[in-house]
Amino acid sequence: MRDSNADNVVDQVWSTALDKITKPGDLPSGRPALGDQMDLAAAQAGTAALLATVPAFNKLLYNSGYAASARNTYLILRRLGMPADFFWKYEQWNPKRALDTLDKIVSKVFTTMLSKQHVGVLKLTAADPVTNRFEVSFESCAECSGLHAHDPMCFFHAGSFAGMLAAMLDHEFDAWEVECVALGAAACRFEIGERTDRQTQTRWGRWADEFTYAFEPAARFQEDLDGETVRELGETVDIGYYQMLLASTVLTNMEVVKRSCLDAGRNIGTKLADVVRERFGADPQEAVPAFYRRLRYASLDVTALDPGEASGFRVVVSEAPEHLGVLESSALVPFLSGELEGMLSALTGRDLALATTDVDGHDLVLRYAPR
Amino acid sequence: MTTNRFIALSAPIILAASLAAWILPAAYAQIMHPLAVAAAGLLSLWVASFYGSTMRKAFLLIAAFLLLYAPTASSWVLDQLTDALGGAFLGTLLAYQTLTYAALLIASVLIVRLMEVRRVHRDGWLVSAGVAATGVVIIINGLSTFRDLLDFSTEAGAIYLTIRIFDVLVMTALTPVLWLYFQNGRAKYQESTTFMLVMIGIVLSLVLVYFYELAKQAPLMEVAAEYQTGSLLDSLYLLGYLIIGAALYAHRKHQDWSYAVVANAMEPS
Repeated sequence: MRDSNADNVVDQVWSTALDKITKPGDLPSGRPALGDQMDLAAAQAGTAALLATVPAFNKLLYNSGYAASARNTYLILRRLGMPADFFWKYEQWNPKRALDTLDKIVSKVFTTMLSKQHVGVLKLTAADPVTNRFEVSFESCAECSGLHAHDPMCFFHAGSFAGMLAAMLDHEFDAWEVECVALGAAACRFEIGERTDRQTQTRWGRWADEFTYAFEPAARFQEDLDGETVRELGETVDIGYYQMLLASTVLTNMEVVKRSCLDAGRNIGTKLADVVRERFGADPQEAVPAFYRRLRYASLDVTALDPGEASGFRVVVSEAPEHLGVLESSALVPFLSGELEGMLSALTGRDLALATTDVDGHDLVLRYAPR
Repeated sequence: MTTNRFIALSAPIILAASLAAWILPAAYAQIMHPLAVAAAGLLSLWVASFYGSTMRKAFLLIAAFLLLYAPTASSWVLDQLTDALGGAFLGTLLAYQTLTYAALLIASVLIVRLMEVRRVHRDGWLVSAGVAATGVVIIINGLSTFRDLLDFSTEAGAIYLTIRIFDVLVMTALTPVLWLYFQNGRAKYQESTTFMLVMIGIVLSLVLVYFYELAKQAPLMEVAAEYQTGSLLDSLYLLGYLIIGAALYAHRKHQDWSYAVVANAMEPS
């Protein structure tokens, strides 16, 4: 059963994303020191690591994107004043009207939202109201740009786009990715069909069931730290997107993925330790905060618990997207805490484990001690 | 402009234009009746171009009904045809009216199928049964006039009864469609307001005369004598025609107006 409190938080994250566009002056930045952007690589790492290590995480990612998008597309369009009969008898429209009207709405609302968040450039490229088949392209995709894969890997966006159309047209749809930037395509391309359609079931099932992925975090972060350009929309993404991704995927499935997030985070942190040492030095108290600040991910203050023995660390985390705004009370930090655990362990050569997690005002206080 | 604002603005104008037929000389109704029906027919063609498949056929058939009906809504045209056709006039008119009303009846059947009226709840079917019963009363109420007309001309009697039966059938067929709209008024995805207004306009233009007949307790031939003479009956007819036209226009523009609202809301304030 879904957690309705988690859904409420997800909805608030989406609502904030809309507010940023419709009332840009009214919202103070939640991150006075780091600003509203974070490095794309940092936003990708969590889901990429889970895709690589957790069986069927791709389906969870897809379903989370679908559910959050379907619910919030409806809420957003009503909030913008779209009447409940806007898409009345859509299946009876002539094809040109169907494509033009859907494209206008998608462009005006969702392309604007996603572009302003630097998530990607969405375009509806085909719509057939008779067969209920659609195609969308997504340039500069935040989910996969800069990553390398053997199979199309944008499950969150596939679910989001299918959910978006489902909410607009009051049908159940599924989307599958046919071209992906991670495979060298110029843009990600998705096909969308009715969920009850046999061909849709076959195509979606094949894509989701046969998916495999191996994530190389060190290579991706090296590229990012070198300032390499991986997409036209820039190398950063709005923290609202990352919050949306985290809230939709992790928060609504916390019991299922908490342990996996910790493990995947620890694994990534361990792999990134060499990158951090090489770029920012071997002293965890200096290097780790410098790394996260460079990524515009969070402000960290790392201090040794016992300077004499160097037995563990106290890490004060400020402005981390997962502990900011509506997510502040959501305890959405297993991935970050796991990543720090792995990174601190690898940098010090000691097997450290997260001992306590506390909140101090807006900050998060994590203590790591030897196992 | 928004759809609600258009409805709010056009309602008093339609009412005033309709009441004018009661107040102004007969020429006003004689010009406005066919003009309003023909304009609605052209608007229905415009709406049909917006759709594909079954809905397109339905609006084309409504357009066909309105455009065929428009000449017969002009007493001047009917007078000219009477002079031109002589004894063949009533037979020709019977064939013409059968064709005209068949278009509307087929459109109604298509609409009933499209609207999936099986979703109508029990109370909706009770109301529909009540409307059907009223339809039977309307037909029975006209039988004495029908017998009188048969003595005068078989064709005249057939025209009289055929139109009455067609009107009642269309009214009965569209009642569950209208009920579906009210039933789903609070649903997440609602039925189209403007489409329902078109249906209401069609039903009103067909059946108001019968309720007028029932209210006056006078045979239709007596009531028909008031047609296009500057009477309340003329106002009721014009009201139905203008509702159809305005609703068709709003139905076609609804999406543009609604999109403008959304686009405006997306602009930073």
